[in-house]
Amino acid sequence: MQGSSREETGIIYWLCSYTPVEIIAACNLVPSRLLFSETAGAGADIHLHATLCSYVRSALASLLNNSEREPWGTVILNSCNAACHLHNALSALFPQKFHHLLDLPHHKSDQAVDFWAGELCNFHKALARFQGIEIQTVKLLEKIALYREYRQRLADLYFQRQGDVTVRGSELLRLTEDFMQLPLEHFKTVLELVEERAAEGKRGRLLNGPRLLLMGSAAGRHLAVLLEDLGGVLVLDDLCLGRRGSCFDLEPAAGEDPYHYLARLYLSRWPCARMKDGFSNLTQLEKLLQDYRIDGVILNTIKFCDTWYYLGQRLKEQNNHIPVLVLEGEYMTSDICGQFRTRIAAFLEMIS
Amino acid sequence: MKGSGTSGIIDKVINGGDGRLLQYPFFYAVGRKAVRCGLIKFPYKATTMLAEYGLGQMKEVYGQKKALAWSTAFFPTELFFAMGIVHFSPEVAAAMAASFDLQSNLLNEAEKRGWGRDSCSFHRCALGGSLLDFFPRPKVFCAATHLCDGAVSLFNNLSSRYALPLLLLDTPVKKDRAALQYVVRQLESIITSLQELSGEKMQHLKLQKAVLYADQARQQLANVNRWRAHPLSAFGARDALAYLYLYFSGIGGKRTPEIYKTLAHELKQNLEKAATAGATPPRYRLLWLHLPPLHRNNVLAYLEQKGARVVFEEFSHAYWEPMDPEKPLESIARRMLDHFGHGCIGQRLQAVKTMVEQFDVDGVIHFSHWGCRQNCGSVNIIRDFLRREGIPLLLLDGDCIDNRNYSPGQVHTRIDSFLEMLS
Repeated sequence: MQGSSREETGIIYWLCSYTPVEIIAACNLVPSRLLFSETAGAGADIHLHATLCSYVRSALASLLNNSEREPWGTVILNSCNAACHLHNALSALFPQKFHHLLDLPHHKSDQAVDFWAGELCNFHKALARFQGIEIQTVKLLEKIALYREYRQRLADLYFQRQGDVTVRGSELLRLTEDFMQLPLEHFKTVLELVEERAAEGKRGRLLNGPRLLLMGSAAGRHLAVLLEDLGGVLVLDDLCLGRRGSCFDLEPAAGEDPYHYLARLYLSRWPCARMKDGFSNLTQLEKLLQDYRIDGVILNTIKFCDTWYYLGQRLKEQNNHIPVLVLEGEYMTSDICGQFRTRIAAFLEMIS
Repeated sequence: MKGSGTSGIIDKVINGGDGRLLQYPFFYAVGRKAVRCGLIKFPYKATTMLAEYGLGQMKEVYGQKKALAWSTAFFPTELFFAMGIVHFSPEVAAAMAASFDLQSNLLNEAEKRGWGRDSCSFHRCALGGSLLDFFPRPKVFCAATHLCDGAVSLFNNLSSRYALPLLLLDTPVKKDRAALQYVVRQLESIITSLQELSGEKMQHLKLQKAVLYADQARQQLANVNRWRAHPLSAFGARDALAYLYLYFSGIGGKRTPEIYKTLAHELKQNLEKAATAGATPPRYRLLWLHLPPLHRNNVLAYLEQKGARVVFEEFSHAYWEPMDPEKPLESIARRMLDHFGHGCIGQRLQAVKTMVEQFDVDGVIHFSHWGCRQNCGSVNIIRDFLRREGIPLLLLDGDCIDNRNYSPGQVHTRIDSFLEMLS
């Protein structure tokens, strides 16, 4: 629950990185991703079944414990069964708040883009109605341009990591988390600081150790810190809290409807395991591993997340060239379990 | 087929050789003949018809003479019937394997290869069957996204593993015009792909017929349910289990409405006989939410022993609106979107309320199948809803397929307490 001093009139919390944050920002609201709450679990289990993933339960706990602080609402995507149940629970628990369930397609066909564009337009209308404002297309276009700029700058930071690495991967993850949580004007300051440090870093100390790719859904910074503490260099991530959720871009076509553009943009990004392309994309992963000279892959799946679990199994079977470690556990907290520590240490020793 | 007097013989035949016999088409041909000749008996003529029909379908599946498609439980089977494509639902196969006590080998195979027990056992069983080549290899995987993430992930995994195409029908959670059009457009694309992959041509007339049969199935199923709602109806969830096969694999087939029609007729006749014979209704009438355990267990029998009958189960609910053969794809799309378990919880709550009222039940049992996020996820909201409606609810945790954690004593104790509360 960050970013309390805001010019905007309230916060719209979101869960899935396919959420069109541009639309929320265009309605004078701050889009903020629901992340781990230190009090996670407290109270949420009464409302969400224990076999739903701990990320979703943690998100609910987070809102249950902070519900009265500031005006807020939620937009949840039908990313998975658990997310839909979270929407159901939120609607039942906070009926006076704004809650919107967005229908995210599972593929990127023309039909899917058209449908998603319509969904985005309806979402904008609903949010504007809730805010009591008129839809301003100009403002939406401004926000689209602004987010494109920041995503591009984040992508540049990642791109630089194909060579030698001087900035810790966990710092980049911290940055992408901020991108997902802070108002953009606040984020700008943080980004500039990291960019400066990255530029200085080219002359600074190189990070040495096995070069790692961290994959998964909502694995957080704490896991990245652990990898680094144990001697790994987190060169790249494929996380929805990291690069996958924040570094994507697409050129708008001339005169393209902004909703159609947003639909294309989000559906064409590097896919989550939940998408149809999630599995076929594993073949493209090979190129990424070569480009970034990766020595080992760590896939973190949250317990009870079926989509990433099935993808992890496939990854283990398919990838013959690079060692893969699959870690399944609860949504990461600062209190990382000893088992993870032991397994990661052994893995790093193996690939060193 | 479980529960017939010949189940012991069937067991010996099937289980001898670890069920390998089930892979041969002649097994189904012989079985079908045995059913037709009355060597294998069932309590209802409709169930006999169903067994014949199911065995015929399985013969085609293993015969591999036509293009075979694997489909998830909620994929619209009307398309297959219209195109003459043989379809196989691994989830239904997992249920059948469990009813014949064959699931252990399949689950073990998946687990041996590193698949953990937190995922749905229907899918783990299907995976084991696939890894062992116990289930036939298809030409194409067809999955619908609604209700279940696990099935889509399984099919995505298998499609990647075997380098076979996956046709995905994305079903939105909303039911508006845009959602309907989106599903229709996808159905058109899927038909094109199926034609290319199978070499079978879609004839519009056949598609219309499949939709007509699907609509007739709805009508006849509604008739069946009308008779089942009668206080003296002796047809409970135990008898209805076999009909899940039709519900998941037979919609759009010609035989399906005929079987339901026969069943409705038999139920009506039985009711007349029961009334004449002065039969008494069960002490407690119960509604079952989600599927009951399909492995060998005595949960439903124990309930009956205690004077309680599960008079209806969620997966016999005729949920879809009338279908129009003149608008076949739109009708199929609407049926997809109409599913009570799909979308926001309100749709399921409304369906539960309708069933509670139609079947005049005294209580509800919610079976929380381990690994089913869709079903378990909303259990707390259902609990609160039923509490507001004043309907007692028993939450039973368990597994439909995997019987390793089944503990009859525990289940009986919980049932006893629940029935005591009802009294």
